[in-house]
Amino acid sequence: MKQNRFFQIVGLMLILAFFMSGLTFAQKSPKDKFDFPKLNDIKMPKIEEKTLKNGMKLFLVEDQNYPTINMRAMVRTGSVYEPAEKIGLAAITGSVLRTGGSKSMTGDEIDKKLETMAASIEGGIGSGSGFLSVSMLNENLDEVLSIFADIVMNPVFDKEKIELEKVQHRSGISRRNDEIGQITRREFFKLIYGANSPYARHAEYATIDAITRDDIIAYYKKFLHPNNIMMTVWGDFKTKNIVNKLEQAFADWKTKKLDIPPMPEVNYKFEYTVNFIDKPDVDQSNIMLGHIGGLKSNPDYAALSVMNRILSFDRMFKTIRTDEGLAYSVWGSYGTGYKVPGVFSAGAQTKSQSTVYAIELMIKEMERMMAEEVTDEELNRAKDKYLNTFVFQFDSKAKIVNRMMTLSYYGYPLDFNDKFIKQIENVTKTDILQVAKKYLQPDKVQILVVGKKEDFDKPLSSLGKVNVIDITIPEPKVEVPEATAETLEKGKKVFEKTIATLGGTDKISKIKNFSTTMSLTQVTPMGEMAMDGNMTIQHPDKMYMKLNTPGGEILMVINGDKGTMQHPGGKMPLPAQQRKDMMDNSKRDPIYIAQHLNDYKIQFIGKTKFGEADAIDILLIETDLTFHMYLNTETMLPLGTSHQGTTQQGPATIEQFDSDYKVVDGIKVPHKSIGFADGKKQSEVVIKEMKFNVELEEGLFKVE
Amino acid sequence: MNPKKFKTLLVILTCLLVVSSISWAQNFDAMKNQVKEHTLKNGMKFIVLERHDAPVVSFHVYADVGSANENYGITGISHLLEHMAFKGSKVVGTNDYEAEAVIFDQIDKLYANIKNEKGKAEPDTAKLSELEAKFEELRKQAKEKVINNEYFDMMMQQGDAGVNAYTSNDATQYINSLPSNKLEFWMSMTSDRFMNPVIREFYKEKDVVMEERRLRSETQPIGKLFEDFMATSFKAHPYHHSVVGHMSDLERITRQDVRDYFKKYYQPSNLTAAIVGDVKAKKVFKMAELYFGRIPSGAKPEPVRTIEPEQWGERHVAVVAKSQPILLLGYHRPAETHEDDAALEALANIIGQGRSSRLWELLVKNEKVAIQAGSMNGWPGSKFPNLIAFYGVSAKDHTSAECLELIDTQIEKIKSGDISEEELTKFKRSQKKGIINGMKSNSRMAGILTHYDVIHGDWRKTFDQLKGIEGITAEDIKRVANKYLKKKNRTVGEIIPEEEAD
Repeated sequence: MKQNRFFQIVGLMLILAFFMSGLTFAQKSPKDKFDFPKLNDIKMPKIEEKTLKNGMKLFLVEDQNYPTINMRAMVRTGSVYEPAEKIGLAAITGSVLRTGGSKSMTGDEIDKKLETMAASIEGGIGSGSGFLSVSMLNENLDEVLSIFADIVMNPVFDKEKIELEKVQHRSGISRRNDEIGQITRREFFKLIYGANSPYARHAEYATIDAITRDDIIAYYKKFLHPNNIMMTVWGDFKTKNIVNKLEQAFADWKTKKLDIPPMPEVNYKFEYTVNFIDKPDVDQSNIMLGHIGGLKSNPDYAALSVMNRILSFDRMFKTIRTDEGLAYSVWGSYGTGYKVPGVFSAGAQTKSQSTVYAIELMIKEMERMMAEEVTDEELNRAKDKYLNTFVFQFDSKAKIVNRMMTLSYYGYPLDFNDKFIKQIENVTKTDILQVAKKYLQPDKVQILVVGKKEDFDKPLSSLGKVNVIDITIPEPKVEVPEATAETLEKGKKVFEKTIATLGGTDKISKIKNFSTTMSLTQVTPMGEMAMDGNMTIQHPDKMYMKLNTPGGEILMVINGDKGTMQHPGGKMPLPAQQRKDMMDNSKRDPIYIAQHLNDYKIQFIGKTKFGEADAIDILLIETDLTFHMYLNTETMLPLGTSHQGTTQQGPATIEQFDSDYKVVDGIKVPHKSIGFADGKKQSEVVIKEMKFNVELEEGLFKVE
Repeated sequence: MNPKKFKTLLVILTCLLVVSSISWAQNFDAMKNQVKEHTLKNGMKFIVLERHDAPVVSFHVYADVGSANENYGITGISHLLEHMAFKGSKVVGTNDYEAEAVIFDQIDKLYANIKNEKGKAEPDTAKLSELEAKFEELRKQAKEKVINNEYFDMMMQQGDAGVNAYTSNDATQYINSLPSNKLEFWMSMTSDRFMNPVIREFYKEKDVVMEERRLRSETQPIGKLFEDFMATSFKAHPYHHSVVGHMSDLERITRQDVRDYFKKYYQPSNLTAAIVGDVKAKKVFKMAELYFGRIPSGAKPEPVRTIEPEQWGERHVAVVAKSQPILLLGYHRPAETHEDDAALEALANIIGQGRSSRLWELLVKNEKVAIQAGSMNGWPGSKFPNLIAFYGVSAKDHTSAECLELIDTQIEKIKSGDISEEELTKFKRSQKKGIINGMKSNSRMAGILTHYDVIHGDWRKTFDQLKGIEGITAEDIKRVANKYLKKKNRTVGEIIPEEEAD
């Protein structure tokens, strides 16, 4: 009996336990269906909109959780408003506004003062807007606010800081062709918007050089006005209190009538083009193809966004990267802007041997998008990613208030994102097919390939007529005094004397080639490096050079528009820029000039000093080549040349000093040449032996 | 301004400062009181900070294992394991786990045979190529069972905005951020991840990690210097080797090694989770019981045994590389939990952090011998005794010797007590701002809570950071400088440019 009862109780407990476990919940495996509870409501913080007396528009949100205060201002300006001949003006103004100091403090003093308070103020101007951002501990509000106001109201644009900024821009220009991704993006945007469009153009040495302090001040005066600024303020403060402080800090800053035109229009013409940029030193191609995109205000924006996800992740990424294993990275995206149409682009980085194949696949994926509906799975996955991450747009007051300002800046409704997410929910497979058909134009894409064409799987011409883009960086323009008939006549006469001194036209015209044995010293960042070598040149466009360097033998051959370089690490085509530099060097050789006298314009400049020597300065121009030559006033022998060129540090005045003239076959030849860039020694060549009209070894100039 | 007025102003300002500090300290306390903790029977600890500002939540799972737990032969395994943790489980990342498991065994045996054959004095090439062909065939078969990137895809589809992981010398951390109604999904995914991990795509991922090593350590001059510098500074303690490990070890680590390592160090008692966001602590703990409570408990791994012995004299190390000269000075200092920690942080800050720090002003701005100069502290990890370090990157035509001389003058100045009030204030403010900014984001806050709980033994110490810093005086800094910045206690490392080496 007792036992029975025991079992009854145990049984009851077991049943109870069973029920209880059923009443609570059982574990779910990751792939089970989850019943997600309803997400708690997004709490919208109270954002106050105020306008200061001087017209500065404020969006404020209190957040007493942390004792910090941040501000972010947007200024209606942008590089689209800078003149074409002064590209870089907006960017330089934006940074020197901060670094150049104010009437009461230098930029360095401001740095130190802010650091002492653990505060920061930064500024910059982009293509369609300018920004200023401030962060601080709330205990430093008054001090930081007064520095901030001082910077924007009383900047001095210190000359030294302007120069520093220019140096950085110049070195940026000199290095802009180093990285293949940067080249691809930059040139692709030029294809879409137009090379001279304010949305794609970029600075050159000449445009940076053209910028003066007065330009910067004028630019500042045109745009930096309180009624042209919107600013968010968030953190630990009382709104009323901080508005008063801001009112006071900017009290002396007056409203001004603004004269800012609307953003320039984009007029796009759909066309199919194939473009190529030669980058012989890579084994991967960078590809971008596409056409103009659209605006966020487009009613189809939500459907386009879902299509984007599918095209990029489910299609391009999966077929080209995962299935075909072709590329390290690949994407496709219909880009949108607030005010300016974005760009639709698909891109890939792939090994050279699959360049054309990858392009064909990308276009095929665009076509597939337009030909058939996406699957339910693709649709849901793409929509889920949008819907489920949407809440993260509201996870901080800073994000919320700054988005509000951005929407307001571009004249969008403040509930734009909420409407967008509702539209996302309603996107159907039919919608996606429709927008794909409406907006994608795979037969009218512009294709850009940057890479090494020798290794492509198929010639690019199999895709259509290839337009080769030259990305040579234009050297800064040289100030040339205006030529007159008189100075040209005189220049020619002077140089004829030089020809006579060198050995005379007869002898010079008989030179077909020459060969030298030499020693070369190169100054590198690590110190001087000495090398022996020999060189054979056949004007105008054939060169063979062999150098014995500490790292092994280097062989360089140029033949017409081809060139190679072979070093212990391997063989590679000679970059176009280096080939051009070498050819230009030949064209500065007095013997070459004497042989092609009619190709040159020679202008007499006057008497000058070249190094220590008295010299006659003549200016020589041959198509796009301009340089000075300096002649010894007594002997008329060339002392050397100078021109504006580029080194790895950016543009520089490059000078070559020739000396130690010796007679070879009746012709005077300098046996020593020293090269300088901006007064710093770069290289020295001493000729040990020189011969004219040597018998050329067969295949010496052969380039494979 | 007359002196009296000035005095009044000063008093007001001081009061304001004190007031703001107090109100902030109250906020700290309030936050501290909201943190709840719960430890499961198997030893896994959960820390929850409820924050209902927005319906999102961030997760950090902190595994108390890093490269300092590795022995010779398996260096780099902590990091490799972190990579493997994204490959899925018996459920995620596969369409047929049973079939897969059979292939893994075959493929591992083959791999051992290939290794064995290759290791012979005269390998049989015919046999080798036959084995390799079979190996490739099996890899292909295994690949068919894999669902590529499924862990990521599933997480992102549910809205994960911050899926990530890190491995350091001290720890391995796994991070997610989800809409807060996805709590149970995270529980399911993550408990599955740590209960049933499957080491798949093993050989492919080893290649990825070896590539990472080539990229970070072998082609970067600074990577080479760091590696040799640590090997010199630590002759006994495992900070001796880098997180990514030695190439030979990476090549030889087996799938079984990884399984064993996981079994040893991913015991629930060695895991700490912090969850910060719009969740209810009670509910989190209940679900944790249900999901993570399933994981059987195991022995807590033995702590690292080796202690770095006292240094007997200045050590030197040089790396020849294609680079400008770089100088690095490292002094031994105690672990982060030591009472001198805050004073050492102040020392590092004043000497070398920011553009108005001493080294930057002297070496870069005034003397122009360097293009960069600064300090590092708590390096390479901070759980065990580590280094406070100073560096200078020589400007063109200048040398490491010049940098060394100038850095030494600054160290001597600090030792003599030459520290300004302004420098102290700057340090305190920058620390304060750093601490506050760290607490703003859910994800970073979760990381901080786990760090303090594991390293300092109590998450409550998170909220004591400010106190430690506020109390630092110039005298403290002088004292720790004299105590630790001794030549006998340091290693001098440099990169010598290839052209200058013979």
